[in-house]
Amino acid sequence: MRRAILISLSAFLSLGLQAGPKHERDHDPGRTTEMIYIKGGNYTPFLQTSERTEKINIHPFYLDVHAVTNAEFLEFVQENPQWARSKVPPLLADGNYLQQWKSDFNIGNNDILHSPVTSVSWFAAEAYAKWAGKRLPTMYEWEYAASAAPVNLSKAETLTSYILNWYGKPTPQLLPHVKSAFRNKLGVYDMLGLIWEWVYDFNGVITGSDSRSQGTLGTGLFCAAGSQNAANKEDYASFMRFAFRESLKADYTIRNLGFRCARDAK
Amino acid sequence: MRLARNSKFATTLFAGLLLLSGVLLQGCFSASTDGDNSSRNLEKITGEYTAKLGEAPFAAPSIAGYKSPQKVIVNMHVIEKPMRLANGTQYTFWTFNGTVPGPMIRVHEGDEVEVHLSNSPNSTMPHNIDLHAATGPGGGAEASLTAPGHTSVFSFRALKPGLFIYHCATAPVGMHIANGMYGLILVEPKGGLPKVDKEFYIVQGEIYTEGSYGDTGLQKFDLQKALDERPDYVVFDGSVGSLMGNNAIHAKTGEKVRIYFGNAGPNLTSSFHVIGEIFDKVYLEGGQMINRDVQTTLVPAGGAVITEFTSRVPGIYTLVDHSIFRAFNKGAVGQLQVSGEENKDIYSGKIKDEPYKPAFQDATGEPVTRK
Amino acid sequence: MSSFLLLSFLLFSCSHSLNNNLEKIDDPLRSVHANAENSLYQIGGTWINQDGNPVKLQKLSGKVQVVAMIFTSCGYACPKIVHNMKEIERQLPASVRKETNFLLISFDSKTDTPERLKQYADQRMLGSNWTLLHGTPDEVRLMSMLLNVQYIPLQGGGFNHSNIITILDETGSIYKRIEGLDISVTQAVKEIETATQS
Repeated sequence: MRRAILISLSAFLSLGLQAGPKHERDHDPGRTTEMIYIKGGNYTPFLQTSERTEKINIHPFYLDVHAVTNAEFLEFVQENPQWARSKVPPLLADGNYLQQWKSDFNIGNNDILHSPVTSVSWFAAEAYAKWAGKRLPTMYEWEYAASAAPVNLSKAETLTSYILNWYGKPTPQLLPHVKSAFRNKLGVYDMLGLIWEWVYDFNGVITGSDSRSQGTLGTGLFCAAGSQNAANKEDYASFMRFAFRESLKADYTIRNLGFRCARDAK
Repeated sequence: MRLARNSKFATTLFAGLLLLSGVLLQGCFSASTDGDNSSRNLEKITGEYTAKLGEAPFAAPSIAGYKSPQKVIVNMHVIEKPMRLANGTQYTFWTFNGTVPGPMIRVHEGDEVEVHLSNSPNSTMPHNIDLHAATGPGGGAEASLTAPGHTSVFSFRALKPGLFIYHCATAPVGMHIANGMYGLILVEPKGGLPKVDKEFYIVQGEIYTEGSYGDTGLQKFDLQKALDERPDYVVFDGSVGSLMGNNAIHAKTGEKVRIYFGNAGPNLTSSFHVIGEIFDKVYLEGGQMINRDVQTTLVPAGGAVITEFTSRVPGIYTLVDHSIFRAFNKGAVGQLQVSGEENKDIYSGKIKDEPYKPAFQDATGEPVTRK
Repeated sequence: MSSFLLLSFLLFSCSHSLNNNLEKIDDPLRSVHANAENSLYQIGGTWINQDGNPVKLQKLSGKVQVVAMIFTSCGYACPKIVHNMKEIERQLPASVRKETNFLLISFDSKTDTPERLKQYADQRMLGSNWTLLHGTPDEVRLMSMLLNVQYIPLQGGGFNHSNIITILDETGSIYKRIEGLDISVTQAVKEIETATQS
């Protein structure tokens, strides 16, 4: 019986779960989100893995100026129907996948067309990025881009208080549109304060000092250990991002978790 | 010869120790407290039930007819929502089961506690739970880290009796506690705690707001004040006035009252006192040692205490953190209303009021005692 | 929780004809595990084994797989994981061993070439029922997501990673995860025996 299941499964698989690029998008991302050149530089990770302060060299890359929207993601699903809500295998997306949509190919609410797509798994985000001829940003790339100062926040508000305020509030029923939070010095919108975002290597959040610590390595973010490793105590908001990433598995779909794409700069 | 004497001496000493420990044990919580053999020979689990939780200010009900270790299922739901902090003041609390403090859990020593922690799909943050009653990494924190829209399940054996704090331990821990994610778990000794007439559940906590005490509207968390340990609110059971006036707790004269009191912090130590009562018994720090006839008991942040007294005289009794500005200027105050027969033998009330005319005064008019 | 699982199980049963022939099973979690929709092998990829031959993951089905992610230049944790797996292999009853394969997947796409993996297998005397796989960085990352293994490359070379041995059933679905370095081999052997009988 099990063999029979496998055979029918491989038939299903021949549709291609990992959507490949359908078009030559490498140099023309075309209909997907506009990208911006990020010069690269040094980034000091928030959590240190060793005694010394480790600086990460970020190579130049392109980053979507805003998170992928529902409308953009719909286009991907239409071209890759194996990623439709009723088709996606539970291995690759949990039961809340695209729950905000009316049905497989119908968002059903014009108000959220230009809101970030959320309730998508890492696998789905990764497949979208490949389809768009892009990739997911690495955690360090993402953090580097997010560390740039905001340019259009009201003067009274510091970035920390802005973020803490957002973190302190439950997720609204309808997410606001992209570009509604703030733009930063790199020209990128809403890195913080709109949604959480998947990164390529979110499962690299390892806060133990090395792999000799037993079993799961997540202990560092609980209680004191994490704060001793933190580069800067002001960076409370970073704590939350790392804790959030640590709570994830790649098949999770969450109402305030979306993504944006990146691409190598040659 | 020498050996024999030594061994005889050792035997006597051993017997003496046994006797002594027997006496000590009887004086305590009537529970097995010596050493750590509890973890080696775990008793068999004989049944299973879903815990009935207590909602503050009322304690979780004690389990009738408890005989042997059970599997106890505890369902917890994390909900982030704006709630009343004081009249006209709101705050977005992060809660276990929609209340601050979260529910009171009550199990017995030896029980297997299976915690089902669900995080609302509408939550912004991941959450978890660290139960101080649990023995294991993070008190369950590692096993229970839960993303929004998910449920984690883990279990632990309640090896030690006592009253314990639980709290969310997701980074940044201080913020998760300050935002209201805490409560108490009582692990009753196998024989149960002695029966009393009324049981209440109170947890103290601080709230760090951008505005000052009394500022209206939805208040935001103030990181700097939290780092400086400078709260504008120190409250019992999650809000100013949660135990005042119509919300006061009640007892009748002659009733034995037990208060399960916790201090979630995140920063301050509490000096718990009931004005006009003397605690008959204080289970120090929620553990096995009982102190008697205590006025004020110190409760550390992340700690708890069981206090008992008998209400004898009717009237209003004020519960405070006796770091007294917190009580009257920051909210750490509550009321117990005792109704029933007056008892003039214990407390007369005012018998008379008359003018006071000192016979001698100094130059400033102050009374002087003449030798 | 269990009702939630049951519900999601039912939902999927409705939307996927694959599930129709599942019998009534008491534990919904187990039934999800037994479901080939959870097979890790559906992700495909261009894996290459220690003999330099391409491997389709589907070819791994039919046997229980004992899987770990490692890198060959790892000085402490990985040798211990491999040691644990060898110990499991040694303690398995012969009949069960026949139905079991051991699978090592390298974090290190750059250094751990098929030749290097071959060398590693020879040094550690890993028999013919061991498969060592080399994949592209993207495939390795995807596999780590499926196995819920955390890892991150370090600037100075090497990786930080979690230490997990995963048992996959015959369909390639996760049957059991064993975390840590000081594992109970006896317990692992029992799990594998049950996995082969299911």
